[in-house]
Amino acid sequence: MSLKITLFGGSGQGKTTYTLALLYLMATGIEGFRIEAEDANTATKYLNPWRDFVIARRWPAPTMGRREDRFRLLFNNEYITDFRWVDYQGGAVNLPTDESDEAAQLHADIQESNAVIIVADSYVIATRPTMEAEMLTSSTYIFNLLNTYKFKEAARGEGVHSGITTALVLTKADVLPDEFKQNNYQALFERSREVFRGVVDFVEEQRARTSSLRPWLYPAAMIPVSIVGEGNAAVLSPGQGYDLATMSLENTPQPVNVHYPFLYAIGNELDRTALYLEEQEADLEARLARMNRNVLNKILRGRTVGQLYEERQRVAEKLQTLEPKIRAVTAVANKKMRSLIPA
Amino acid sequence: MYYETFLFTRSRRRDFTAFVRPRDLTNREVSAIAAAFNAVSDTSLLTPAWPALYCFPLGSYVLLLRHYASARTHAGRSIPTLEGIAVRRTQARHFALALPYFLAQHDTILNVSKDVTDFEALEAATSAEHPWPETDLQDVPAADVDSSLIEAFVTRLADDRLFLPFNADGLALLRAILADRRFPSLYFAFGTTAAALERLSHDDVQVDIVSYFNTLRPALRSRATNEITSELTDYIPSAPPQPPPASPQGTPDQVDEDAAPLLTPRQMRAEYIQRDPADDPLAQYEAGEDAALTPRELARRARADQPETPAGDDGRSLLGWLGGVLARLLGRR
Repeated sequence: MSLKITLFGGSGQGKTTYTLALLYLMATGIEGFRIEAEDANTATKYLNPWRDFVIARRWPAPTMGRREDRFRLLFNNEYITDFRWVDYQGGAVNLPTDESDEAAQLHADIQESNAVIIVADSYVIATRPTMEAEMLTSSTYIFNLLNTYKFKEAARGEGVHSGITTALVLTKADVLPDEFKQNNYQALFERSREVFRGVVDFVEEQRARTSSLRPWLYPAAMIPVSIVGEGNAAVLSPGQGYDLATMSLENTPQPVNVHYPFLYAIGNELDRTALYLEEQEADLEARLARMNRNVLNKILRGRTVGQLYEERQRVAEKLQTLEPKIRAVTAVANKKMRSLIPA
Repeated sequence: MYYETFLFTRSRRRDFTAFVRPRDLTNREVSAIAAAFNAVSDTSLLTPAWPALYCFPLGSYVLLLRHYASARTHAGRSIPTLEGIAVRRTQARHFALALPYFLAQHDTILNVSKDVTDFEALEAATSAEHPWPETDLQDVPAADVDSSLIEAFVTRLADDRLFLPFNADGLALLRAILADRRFPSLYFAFGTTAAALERLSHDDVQVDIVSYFNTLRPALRSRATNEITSELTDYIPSAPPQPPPASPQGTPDQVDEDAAPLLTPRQMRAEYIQRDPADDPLAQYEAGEDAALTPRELARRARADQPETPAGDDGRSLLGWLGGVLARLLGRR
């Protein structure tokens, strides 16, 4: 089983540093979870710029182009799943496909992805007027892409089983003004829902009872994270216009909450697989019940009945294998992720 | 004969963009270049005066480019610049003859950004065709280089790649080799990483001469296994990497005393322990009642919220009972 997770977001939102911190944490292991890269060089590629960040206190260079790598996720050294991690430069979101190959690939990647991780600068969300924050985080562009490739498709009745998990990562939460940190970051969540209202509204509408779609296929949640940790970075200039805030790294970085969005994406996708298996199991059960009620069927279609029993057995076994993995991942991640839809 | 130019960089407004590009360079080829240079994560050694230099074929062109960290910044990070010239492959041989001159004059010939006054106002455009410049090899500084390695490289070119140190000696050796008429067109990456070359090779771009940032001495290495087949064992680096102060291998007199001292592992540990998690609202953060639900939990909740379907009267009426019996016999509900 292989999942595809695409990480993207506007320019300067913290995608590169977030990815480096996540892969550093997961390579060594956190809360029992660990990832293994396809080969040693892949891990080295990510660890080198992280080392420069930690030791030389130099922010990583902006990402150019697209990067895709393959990993395996393990929990207490037990295999959970394979996954492909795709990472983009910010500009890929705001360019038409005929102008940029990255843009064309991003569109294709979103279509193929099981989950997307959207990275947005919480300092921008908190301190800029709403419309500026929308443009700088590219939230409108992001909704446009998700709507085109995931939401509209479902509304047309195509791919109704596909759905997508959306994790919104609110970076740079350590330098937020205090009022946005109070009440468990309530003010930040409210502002984020406003800035990303396209995505929020879609998911909320799908959860309305009138919807013909299956709303549970669009789980979406968010979390504030910090790559450097509270008090380790300072805002040198708050930024203006296209200029984003400039920050200095004062102490050794201590990433906080970084792994939860990733585990949330993986856990939900495993759970979605289990949901399909449960539905398959229920369907097989119903067909078997119908067969068993009819004596004539039992005699004439004994072979079919046997095959259905075997199939149901296989589905049940798959579910049984999946359950502990789902519990392991979601028990850790979902308690930290805040639903994008207000309660 | 003519050449075209290119300038790939970013502004505050636009992410990595081909602001100037040769007419027939495709989006896919621009993307291949971006992906390769993305693998050079540390550009702090590279300046306009001491850039990384590359020459390789891609699509319809042979590209000669320089890569450096510009003085411009975005969100506190230095913006990298890739700029240079592109020559049609059909003119590659003529281009190869002028290459040592172009390298010596990189600050004028490859400096496409010198005409840009405002990067924020820059829009993507196609390069004009520029007339071939006068190339005078007299302007190329003569290099005092050990010829034994060049001799060995001539004979082993098909099997080996030449590795050069990323310093003034290495650059002089590179120019001397490029000026040697015994070689065919040579492609090189002077100031690079293994990951960048690996990425270029995904797009079938191979180079003959390599200089990693940490290559210390000239050597020939097998193209197949990367093992050293010949090394200049008596080579003593005579020129330090430029610019020297930023080099991690800098000599003690190059150390910037004003820079903040790096922490020892014990100091780092002490700093970590001193931090009280109670002071960190992020570490304390829990989603609480708003915690995200899994797809199955959401589905169960939705089902639970559905109003109960009123029971039918099948079981109470005779017709219903007969219908039920018939359905069971036919194996339907």
